[in-house]
Amino acid sequence: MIELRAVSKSYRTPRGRKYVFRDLSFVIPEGRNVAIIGRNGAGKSTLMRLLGGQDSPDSGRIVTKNSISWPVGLSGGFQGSMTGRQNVKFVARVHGAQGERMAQVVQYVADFAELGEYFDEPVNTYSSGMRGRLGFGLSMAFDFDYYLVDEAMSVGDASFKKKATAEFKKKTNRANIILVTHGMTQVRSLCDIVLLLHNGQVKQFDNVEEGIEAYTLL
Amino acid sequence: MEKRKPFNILRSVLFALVIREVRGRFGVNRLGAFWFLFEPLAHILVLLTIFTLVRGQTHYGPPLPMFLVTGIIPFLLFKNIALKGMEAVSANKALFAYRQIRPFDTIIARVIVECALMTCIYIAINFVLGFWGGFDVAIHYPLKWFGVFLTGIVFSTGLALIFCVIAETMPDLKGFIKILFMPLYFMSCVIVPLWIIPPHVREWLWWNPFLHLVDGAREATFLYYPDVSGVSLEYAATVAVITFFLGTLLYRYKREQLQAI
Repeated sequence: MIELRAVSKSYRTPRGRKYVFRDLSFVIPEGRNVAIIGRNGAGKSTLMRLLGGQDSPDSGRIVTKNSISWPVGLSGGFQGSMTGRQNVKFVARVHGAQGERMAQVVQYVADFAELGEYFDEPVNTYSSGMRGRLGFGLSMAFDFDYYLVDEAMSVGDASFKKKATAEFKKKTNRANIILVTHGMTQVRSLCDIVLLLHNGQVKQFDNVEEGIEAYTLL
Repeated sequence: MEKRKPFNILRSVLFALVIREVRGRFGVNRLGAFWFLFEPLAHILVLLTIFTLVRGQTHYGPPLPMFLVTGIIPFLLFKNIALKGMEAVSANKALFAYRQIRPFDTIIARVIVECALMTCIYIAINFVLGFWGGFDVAIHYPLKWFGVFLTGIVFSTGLALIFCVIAETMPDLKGFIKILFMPLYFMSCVIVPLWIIPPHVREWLWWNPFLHLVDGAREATFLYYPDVSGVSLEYAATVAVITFFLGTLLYRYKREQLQAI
């Protein structure tokens, strides 16, 4: 369960303060896969950043006992001059993996990302698809209660996409995902409730089809 | 994912960041590892050569190479902590996506790396000077020496905290802060001995805490060192504590802004 209590978030622009959310309160219920949809600029990514802890609200609190992942597939944190393996080890260390567990994480990512020899080459030399695969594999190597997915799973080629979706399905037995997307097929296949963001307010739909319909009518 | 104690998180984050920092500076090839050590070493060696040749030995005080080394090393250490710490937050911004990593950690990691690097260089240079130069390289008052360095490290970490908040809100000032350290180099009596400075100029130099730290480091190193009345480690320590306090206060106040990607 993730609870937002009177969350406000604004950004300073050259033409004064712009509020994205004002006193936003809602609850993401336990054990549900959530899709966050809305038009461009509705605040989906801001909500994602708040949930992921990359940004903090001006006022209000986000309360949860669950662990929430970093945005799945994040590859901005890679140090270019370090190899894929070293970058994976860095993140594993930050998450307290040592010895056995560390080897396990590295092995998992190496298998999942299918980088072959490139796993021991500097990340600088990777194509953007390879970076994305490494980032995706890294997110999957840790067991979170919630996975934040921002338009991801568009990483890599067709076979990798298939593999990624399959892995997600497997994860959803134990964990849940929070998905931000414009692709309604993904919403239908992965999520069971829909949060529709519009004008700084959130509308919750327990029926996915109803949510999608409300979205298309906007 | 199991819950960890805050201290354990801090420890593993610092450990990871220090390794990453060193790796990042090593660069891709092995030459990077060499440069990592050799760059500051070269800096010191060049200064040492120039000033030993230009200035020559004075009649007074410790041997010139030793005099320069004991001044340049602490100053360079404090300067690097302050300036590299200033850049730590902006350079590692992408890492704050992992919620365990806080801006403060990146600064502390750089402090640790700089201290380790300078220790290696201090040992390397003193080894050469002692072994082939025949100078007395012992630190004669080790407790005082540690005290001076600790004060300096606290002071420069406080500066780094203040600078990184300034750099975040006004990035244009970064260059200005870097330039400020150039006159400090001369105003801290790193190269010119304190006792040849005329007293009316000294009056003004006393404001500079680095001067007290650099001279304190020398007093602690040499068995006989010309005592100039006015050098006060208490002053340096007071300034260090105040600076560090201000730094943490500013950091606490701007924490969220520093962390936001």
